Amino acid sequence: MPTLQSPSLVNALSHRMDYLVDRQGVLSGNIANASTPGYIARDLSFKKLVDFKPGLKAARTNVNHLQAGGAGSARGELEKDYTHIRHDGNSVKLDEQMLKMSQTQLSFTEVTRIYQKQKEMQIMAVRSGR
Amino acid sequence: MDLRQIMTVSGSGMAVQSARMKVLSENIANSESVDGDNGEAYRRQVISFQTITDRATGLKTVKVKEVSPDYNTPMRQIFDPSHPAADDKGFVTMPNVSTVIESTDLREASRAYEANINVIENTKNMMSRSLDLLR
Repeated sequence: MPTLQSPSLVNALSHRMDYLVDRQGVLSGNIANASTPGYIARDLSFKKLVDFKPGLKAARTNVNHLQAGGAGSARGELEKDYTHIRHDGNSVKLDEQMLKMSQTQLSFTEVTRIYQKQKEMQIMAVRSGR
Repeated sequence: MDLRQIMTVSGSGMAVQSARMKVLSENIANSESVDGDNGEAYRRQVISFQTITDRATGLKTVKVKEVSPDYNTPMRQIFDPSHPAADDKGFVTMPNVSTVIESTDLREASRAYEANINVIENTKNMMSRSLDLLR
């Protein structure tokens, strides 16, 4: 029976939105480090909500240890791009990064629009179609 | 992670590229300087960057590691006995700056700077779209 609220859709949308924000973070790190020697470009690939396990964190025995599973792996798989490493060890392809960023932005627009439609439909249902 | 924090990443990218442009333009401006504070010809400056990973968010910002003189490229020796700075053999030591290399580097720095500006624009758009949801 269809319910007034569709929590699974809202969950899926917010999960995707969080992923897109995280990816934007990774991509801007790439672009900021486009001239840093030895920097390898990274990307985040989407991990479906079904496979997402929140709250699993490795224990830190020393405060100086890096936290395992930083923001990158929270909602997506972190991939490193080792193709085309230049003489200074940098592997960032600026044009590719810009393209990925516009894709991210487009997806973000898509998600917010769907969310908006969902909201409008709910309002319409509450008002009984008026 | 917050979209606002992401802007600091691009901000650091812009700062670093403009520091690079400063060094490059100093090199170009001084490409013919035969004398300086130390009594020697100008020596090319080289800038290098390093990545800083924020422990909490995992975001990778960038900062200037150091600006150091270039001792790997040899200084140019020009034979010109009439030059006021010529030594007793008639040679003048000129800076080890190649304006072609510096100009190409400048173009690359400027392109990287613009890319960072685009990231900020992009991030700003994403933020305003999420704010629109509140309407």
